[in-house]
Amino acid sequence: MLELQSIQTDIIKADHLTANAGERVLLSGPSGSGKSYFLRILADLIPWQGSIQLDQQPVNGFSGPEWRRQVMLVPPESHWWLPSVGDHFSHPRQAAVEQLGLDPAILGRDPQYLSSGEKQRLAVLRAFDRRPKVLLLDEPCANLDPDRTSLMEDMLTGWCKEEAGLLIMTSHDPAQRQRMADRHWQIQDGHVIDQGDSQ
Amino acid sequence: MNGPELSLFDLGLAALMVVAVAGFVRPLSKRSANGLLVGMARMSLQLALIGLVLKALFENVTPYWVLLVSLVMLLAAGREVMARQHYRRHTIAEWRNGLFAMAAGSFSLTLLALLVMIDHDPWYHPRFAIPFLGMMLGNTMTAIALTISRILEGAHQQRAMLEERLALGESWQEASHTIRRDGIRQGLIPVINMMAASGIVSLPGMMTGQLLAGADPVNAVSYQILIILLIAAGTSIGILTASRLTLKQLFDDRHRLRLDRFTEEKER
Repeated sequence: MLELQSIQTDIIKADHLTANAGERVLLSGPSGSGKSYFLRILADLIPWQGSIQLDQQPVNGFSGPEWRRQVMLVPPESHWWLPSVGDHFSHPRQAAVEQLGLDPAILGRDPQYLSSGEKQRLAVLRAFDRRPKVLLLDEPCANLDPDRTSLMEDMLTGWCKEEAGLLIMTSHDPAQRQRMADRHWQIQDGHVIDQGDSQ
Repeated sequence: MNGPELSLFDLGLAALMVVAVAGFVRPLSKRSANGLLVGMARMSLQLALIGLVLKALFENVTPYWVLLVSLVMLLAAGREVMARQHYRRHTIAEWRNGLFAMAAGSFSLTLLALLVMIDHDPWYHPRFAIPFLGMMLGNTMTAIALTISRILEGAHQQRAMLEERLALGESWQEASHTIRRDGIRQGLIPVINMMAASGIVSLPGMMTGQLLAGADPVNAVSYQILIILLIAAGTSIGILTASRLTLKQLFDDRHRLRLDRFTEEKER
């Protein structure tokens, strides 16, 4: 379980929020409201005040890298720094690659020739590969067509069920919220508010 | 034997060339053009002054004066390393890091050269100590400035990739590995070029000076080889130290990228 208490920065505040393992939390708010910024706080990538606990253990009980291996952020645009796509994975799983509508041969390719949609899907798989407990996805379907979006949603839902993973993702799409959200967090005037069960 | 004497006219003609070049650079970068002119004025004044200082030191050989002059040289080099950086932090830590790296690279090897290789009595005689230290400091200063500048610019340009690698659970050392590698490579280019070109493209300054002054070429060459080897080792030590200390400042103890600590020195 992820529990947030009295989170405060110059830009964003959150009084008390919780989310459980296996849940899908959708984070919404107008452009520029601080959704990406809030995900970066959860990943402890920027300084903030307050308390965040993962399974009753506070952030400070982990080193920064240890925390981020558990609570992993996938930004909207991914970066690849090794010669081939597969080099970024410790256990590349071809089945998962196919499940997202990609050719497994893509694992041998040079990342600089990937399309933005391919990069986005592979970035989510790369995060799965590191086996986090909480996955923070920033606009994971932004560059995908409706079919690919549906494949991505199925895979994310499957991950939450099978791995008891907690998914927190930003989305501008009310229909996606209808389909995906077990819980809906909304940013209003710099406050993150739990709107509860949106279904 | 001494080389032909230079007149003020000769020096003035060379200075005129720099002024003319600054005129061409000015429309492209006012700051660089001013840098050339101010640099020219400073260099002339400083060299004239060090001539007088050396004369005084030679007449009164004590380790304290040599140490004092060495420290002044080190402090000045520490300031120069940071002065023209594009991204600054304006803290004591920033300055201390450059200083420490330079001391590690140049003082240690100068001492080695004076105590073991030159072995003159007394070992701290300013005739050897000051020129040696000056050459070491001058070269490590340039190399360290290049390394720091490359690392700070690389971190700003590759900010998104750095943050993503941290987000995937890498430590700051892992995430910044490629940036450090590029910084070290950049800093080593001048000394590697110098070694590759020595004797073929260029005759290094110290050897040229000795030859002009009528020294035995074989002796001049062995001194020059010693100097270049010491410079190569010293700059490497300086660069390795500086790259590590600079990167450390870019991250906090939670391994978060903290570019907010730096300000960009903008050219208008």
